[in-house]
Amino acid sequence: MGLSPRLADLDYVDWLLEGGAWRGPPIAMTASRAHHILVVDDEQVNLLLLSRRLAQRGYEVSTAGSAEEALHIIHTNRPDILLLDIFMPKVSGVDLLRKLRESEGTSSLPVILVSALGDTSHIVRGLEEGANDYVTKPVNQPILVARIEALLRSSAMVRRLEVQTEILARLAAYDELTGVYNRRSLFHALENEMSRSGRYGRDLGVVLFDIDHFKVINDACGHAAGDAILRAVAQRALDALRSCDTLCRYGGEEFCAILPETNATGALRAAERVRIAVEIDPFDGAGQPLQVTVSAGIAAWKGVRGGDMPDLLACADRALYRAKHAGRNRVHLYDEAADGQVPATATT
Amino acid sequence: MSKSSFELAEALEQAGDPELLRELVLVLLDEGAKKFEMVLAADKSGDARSLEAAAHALKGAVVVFGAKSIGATFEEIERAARAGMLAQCRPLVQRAEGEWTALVGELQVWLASAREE
Repeated sequence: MGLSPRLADLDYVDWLLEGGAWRGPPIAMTASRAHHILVVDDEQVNLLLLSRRLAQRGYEVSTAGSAEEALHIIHTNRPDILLLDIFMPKVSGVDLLRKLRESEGTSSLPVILVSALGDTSHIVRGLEEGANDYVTKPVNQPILVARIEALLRSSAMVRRLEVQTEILARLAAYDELTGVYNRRSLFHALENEMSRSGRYGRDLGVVLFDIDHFKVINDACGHAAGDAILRAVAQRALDALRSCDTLCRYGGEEFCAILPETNATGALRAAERVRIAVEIDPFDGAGQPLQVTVSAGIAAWKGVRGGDMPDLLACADRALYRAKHAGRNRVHLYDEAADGQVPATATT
Repeated sequence: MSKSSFELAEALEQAGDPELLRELVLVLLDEGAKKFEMVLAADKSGDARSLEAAAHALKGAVVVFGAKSIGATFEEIERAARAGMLAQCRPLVQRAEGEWTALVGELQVWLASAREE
């Protein structure tokens, strides 16, 4: 990869997906396959004619003789497009269309109304009810196929934009290198947890981890190996923490874990688990086994007395500073006497 | 020479090949006959809604075969039934009955000739 990609450039999304650079949670992409068309008509001649001609064109075709049957197929087989007769007994095509448009999962399902009703009022009404297109019987097959293809193209474009939007939203929340939450998400999550803790008087633990001598690792093994170690440390920390904990990359080689419902003793145990998980097995230092350790600073907080986020993080930071100065590869709990008074509200 | 009830060229264009057309004819002769019975029954009982629905379905089916005359009759029945004008439907249904018999006969002849080919 040559030039650095820019976030503002939508090609960046292709680069992420196709280059395998995306490390966040998996993003579902539609697999390439024959497009699935559902033909709904209570009249058997038209049902047979349309389904067979479209199948000859290479589409995967399902048929339904009623709106009820169509709904079942729509929810189980997720067709790409619906060819819908208007005039059907019990539930009409327009009633089914209205129902689809009101439901979140089917509101954007492409629908072509197919009807022997060719007068202006029926066509206008069908389109106003949410149909994407309208064709009259007898169906002109080449025109129908062209309209199906046009609809499939625009729905593929919509899907692509949805995926791109999803990726951009995730890029705003996750750290691209390690796949854990980023600093922006940390502040958001911590604010929520502090608010919850304050409202219900619950314990809250915050741990700052810093990889020891990371600059030396980078200088000795190269930045690629340094990046790989950052990713591996994040993974080991994730594995050592609970699923309800939130791990974020705070910056550089520093990570922050938010531990809900966790007092000082619990936070110490959690931080120690992470420290041991990092220390226990060597990492890959550009082909050579490399011993890596982390230091951790902990702040435990009970929000009954108020307090703010910068104070809490400052407490954890001071404890981390002491852990570093005490020789690294250790965890320290914030202690006002030893670390100095940062906030008025943090408890240990 | 009397005019044919359906247009073979149009029907073949719709179906794309004689084999599918043969299947479509068989479906029309089977399902269409049932629908036509519904037309007759609804006309007899004065059920405008059922008459409209059955005539509409038959109109959509016969146009596939280029059967314009009977298609137009079914459309007239459909409109009259929708408007609740059942008195107007009776002669239209009688006309449709003759056209339907002719169409079925011609389609059966075509089926027999298609089998021989």
